Amino acid sequence: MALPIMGEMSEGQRGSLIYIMETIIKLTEVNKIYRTEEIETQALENVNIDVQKGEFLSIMGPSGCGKSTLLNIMGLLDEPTSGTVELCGTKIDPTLSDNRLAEFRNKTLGFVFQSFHLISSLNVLDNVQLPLLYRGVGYNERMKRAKEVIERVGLSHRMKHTPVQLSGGQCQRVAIARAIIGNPEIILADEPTGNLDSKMGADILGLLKQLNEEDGRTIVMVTHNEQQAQQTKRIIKFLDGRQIM
Amino acid sequence: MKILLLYIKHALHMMREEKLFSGIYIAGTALAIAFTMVMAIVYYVKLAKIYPEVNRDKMVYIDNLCFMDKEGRVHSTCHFSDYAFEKWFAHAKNVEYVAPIYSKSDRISVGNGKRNIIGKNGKLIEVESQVTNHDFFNIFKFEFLKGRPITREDVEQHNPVAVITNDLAEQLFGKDVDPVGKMIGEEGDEYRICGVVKGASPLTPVSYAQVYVNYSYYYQNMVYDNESLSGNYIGGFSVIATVKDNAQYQALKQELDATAARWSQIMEGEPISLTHTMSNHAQHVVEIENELVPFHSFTDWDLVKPYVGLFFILLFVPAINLCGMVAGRMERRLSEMGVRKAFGAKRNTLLWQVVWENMVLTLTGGIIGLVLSWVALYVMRDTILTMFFDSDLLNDTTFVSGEVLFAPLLFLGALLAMLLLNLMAAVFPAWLSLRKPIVESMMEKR
Ligand SMILES: Nc1ncnc2c1ncn2[C@@H]1O[C@H](COP(=O)(O)OP(=O)(O)OP(=O)(O)O)[C@@H](O)[C@H]1O
Ligand SMILES: [Mg+2]
Repeated sequence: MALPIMGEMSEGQRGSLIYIMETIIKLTEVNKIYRTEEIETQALENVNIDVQKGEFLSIMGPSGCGKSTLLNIMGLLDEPTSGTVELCGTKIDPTLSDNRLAEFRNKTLGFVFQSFHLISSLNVLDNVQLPLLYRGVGYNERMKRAKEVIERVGLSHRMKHTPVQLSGGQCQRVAIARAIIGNPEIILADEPTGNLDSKMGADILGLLKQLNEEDGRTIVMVTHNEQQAQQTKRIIKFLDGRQIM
Repeated sequence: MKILLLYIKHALHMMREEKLFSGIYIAGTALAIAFTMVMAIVYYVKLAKIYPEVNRDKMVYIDNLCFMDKEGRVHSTCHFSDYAFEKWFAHAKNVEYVAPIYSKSDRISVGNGKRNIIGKNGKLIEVESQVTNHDFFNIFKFEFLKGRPITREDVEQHNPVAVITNDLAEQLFGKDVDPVGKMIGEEGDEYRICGVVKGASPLTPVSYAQVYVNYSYYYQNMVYDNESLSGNYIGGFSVIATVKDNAQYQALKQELDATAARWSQIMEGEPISLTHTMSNHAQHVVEIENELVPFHSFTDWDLVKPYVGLFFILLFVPAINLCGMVAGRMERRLSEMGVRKAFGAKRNTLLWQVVWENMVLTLTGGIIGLVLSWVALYVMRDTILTMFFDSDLLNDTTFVSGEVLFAPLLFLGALLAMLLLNLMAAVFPAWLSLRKPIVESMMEKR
């Protein structure tokens, strides 16, 4: 895909016309078909998407159109039925070893989910440092980094709490802290504000925007909220597994 | 090594986090292992070679004389008279040693083994007695502290001799007097002590008694006048013997069958069998325990069946319950493992973590269980032992030796069985789930 055309540009993008193009996520001819005993669902049909480094991309579309499926495939949480995925210039081959994939997820990707997916038995600190744990970072360094990012999402006073003792908005902040602690290039957020009221939703979006603008992280976000989507740099829309714009 | 420590640390961490689960799991494992161990110890005592029954692997038991009908089925059974022993067994060729003993069932129900002797102060005391021959002391390796066993000459010459236990000797004569040569018994039933042994325990009921007297003296005045009467052969004895090996066992069987055929004719043509209840030690234990009567032929499976059930209840029922618990918890954990994987955990790391968690839990439970079984045997020894042994034989001399307490192979076996089951319950679903795409693991129901 060429340079974004002015008309497609969202509010946020207009200020910074000049940026260096570097494709960080590239989906080519991606199909995803779910087969159950009775039916076949084509969740994605011939999807081609390029995401540039530093982009903040929103994906919109009605329920069941394949947004989560798309995001999961981008994030190596799921495999496409056919087609290829490239992340940071590396083609993700089905033959890639589990260890390589794990490393990729660990270093390159950070996830934020609608239902948070925090580990309920771990407190905030332990949840947040998870990616560093699997990277083999030492205890002291982990603690230091975890405290930094928790402070950044404004939860320093809740470090020893477990997820059940937190509000939804607070949980999502923890999830964001966990997503960014490993300094991944890419943050994938599936309806990160879907379970939150509008005030808290706005807070979370603000946090994501900050990560995009200040740290230059690439963010792909699924949302049902038109108003939130308008605040990102680009919007693509899906219907029945196909990109319609 | 470092990674191992890390896994164990993780496991301990998990135990702290999931106190209830870990607690129940450990307690369940401990109880299952403890019960299994108690049973193992009980059966060790019943089956292994322990003093003085160190020839258990070579022993043959012939409890009954069986009268058969025309179809070859048993229609009635009885024990042997001393006369029958003398005629049929005493001169058997295919044995190492052979001895008559009071039949165990008679001893219990008829009180056959009880005998009065005059105690220190002239009062009669009742002791447990056995009536047998010289070979008894070859079959059972009693340690003679003083004197000698009953000999072949004693038997042939109908000498009134008896071997008594050290405990009884001390009770009767005190520590300082040499009991050998002294007389015991009551009037008309007196014996000269020829030897003093370290006593057997009631836990080895075949060899256990306090006084062992020469059967040929005891029965010397019995009159057996008419060979054709089956009554001549009916008495209170069972027969024990040792054989060198299985070949001799089979040879003995043939020999006894031939004897029976010959005597069937003498006994008014009524067919008898001497081998119908012939059994080795393990079979004998099982037969007595389960009151398997010789009226039908039982297979090896009949012998093993009750124990399969027992072990099933003791070990596998709790193990399977725990498996259910582990599997249920794994189901909850699968989504968590999906999340961990999403943030960079490797499949093998997660899998090993599950394995180690289970190992640490099962091992903890197992060791607690082992200790528990010792404590149980120590504190509730009588209760437990009376459940499995003839309670009226038990007394303070009952002991369980150290090697019995440990029974390491059984402990390891039971532990391994638990471990395998639990690993299967935990690792298999984890392994399956970890092979699926992460989203699917994450969406596993919580
Ligand atoms: N594991 C699965 N097995 C079968 N079908 C599935 C599976 N996951 C998703 N689908 C189907 O694929 C289609 C796309 O699902 P997806 O979750 O991507 O939708 P979505 O756009 O994220 O919807 P929502 O906005 O409600 O989250 C749906 O029709 C859904 O029913
Ligand atoms: Mg969705």
